Amino acid sequence: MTHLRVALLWAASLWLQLVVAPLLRWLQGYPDVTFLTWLAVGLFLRGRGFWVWTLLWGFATGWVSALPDVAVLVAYVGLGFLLERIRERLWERPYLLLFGGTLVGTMALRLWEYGVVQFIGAEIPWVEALRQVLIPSLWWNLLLALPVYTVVSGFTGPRRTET
Amino acid sequence: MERFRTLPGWMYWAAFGLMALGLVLLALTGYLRPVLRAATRPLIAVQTWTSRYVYSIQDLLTSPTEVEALRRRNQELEAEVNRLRAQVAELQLQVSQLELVAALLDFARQHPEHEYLVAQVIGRDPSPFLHYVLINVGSDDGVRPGMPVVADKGLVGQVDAVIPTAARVRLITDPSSRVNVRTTPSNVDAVLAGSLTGDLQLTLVPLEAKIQPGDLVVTSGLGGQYPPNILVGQVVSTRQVGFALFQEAAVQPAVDFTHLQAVLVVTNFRPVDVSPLIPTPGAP
Repeated sequence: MTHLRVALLWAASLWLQLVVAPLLRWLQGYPDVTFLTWLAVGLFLRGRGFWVWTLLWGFATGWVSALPDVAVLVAYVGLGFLLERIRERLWERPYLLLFGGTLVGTMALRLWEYGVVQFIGAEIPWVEALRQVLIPSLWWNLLLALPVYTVVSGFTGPRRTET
Repeated sequence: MERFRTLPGWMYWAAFGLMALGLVLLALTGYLRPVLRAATRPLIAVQTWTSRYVYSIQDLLTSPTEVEALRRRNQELEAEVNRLRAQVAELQLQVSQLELVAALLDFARQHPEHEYLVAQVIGRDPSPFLHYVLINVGSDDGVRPGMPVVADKGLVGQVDAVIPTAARVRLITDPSSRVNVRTTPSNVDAVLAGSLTGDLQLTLVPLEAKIQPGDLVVTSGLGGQYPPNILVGQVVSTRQVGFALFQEAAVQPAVDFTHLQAVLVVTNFRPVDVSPLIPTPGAP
């Protein structure tokens, strides 16, 4: 049942990311609803279920994005490992984990995207990327982290551990 | 008194007629007005007092049914207002869609040499570093990668990837986008580059070229990626930097990319891959 709910969240977050999130543009940055939803789900799921959903999340986001599929998939797997490391230290403090994960995850994801975009031929000055995308995206994600977490926790029920 | 009673009947009528005539004359000449005013004032006061109480009592007796009726009527009217509002919103949507389609048709009429497929913009790329949109037509509709995409005002971009029911379009504002263009009337060939902020920049403009703000920028057709003579934008300003080999110009795009809702895919244009024809160093 939980996986069905996660599947619904996954689809809803993708739709929101493609249609609604770009409308909330501040400079060139906008919230990453798919990442925030993945992160919030990651606070509830552990073990194999978490990794299966991380792969699906990465695959779906990579498929709709013009970024190379593999790049996005690698980004999500990397974020998964990062979340696991943070979780080991902050497991009993979900809010700290949420905001820490949002902060570190957003920066890591956007920096990774920046590197990939540079690699595939776009010439974006570093300062412009920081000012126009990284900081606004981070601001948006920190602002929406708690509402997304609340929705996800209300949707998936109490925290549980899968090993 | 007895004699008075024995007067003939016609005399009564005559006296009555004279009195009536006299009253009418007095009324017409205005002499009777003070008398009438004095006489009617108490009557009106009484009438006002009684009517007020009578109406109050009537209200008291009939109000429960009237309130109920009014409440029901109010609900009906509210439902009607909501229905009409929804209808108005739907009609406004249809009007805006019709205006959009009409504008696209205008563009198609101005460029009859091409075949077009109308598509709706259904999403944008999840990454803010990229300027791509998703459209609701795909390979099932005959869309192929590389096909140019235009809107009512001018060039939008190029189809980048296709699935059976949708396609992804790279906008000309994307940081990795390069379009070969020509300015008019100055007739200078240049390359139009996108940027992270969505601003368009004319690059590789020779120093001796005389580009003026206000010059139009259209596709040149060079490179085979886009058909020629599609409006792209207008030169806003030019800039020469120190010892640079080329000058640059800022271009205002003709299309409003922030409110892109519907586009046309040019289906009878196939991009030409000229890369095998470009000489490479060391080749025989």
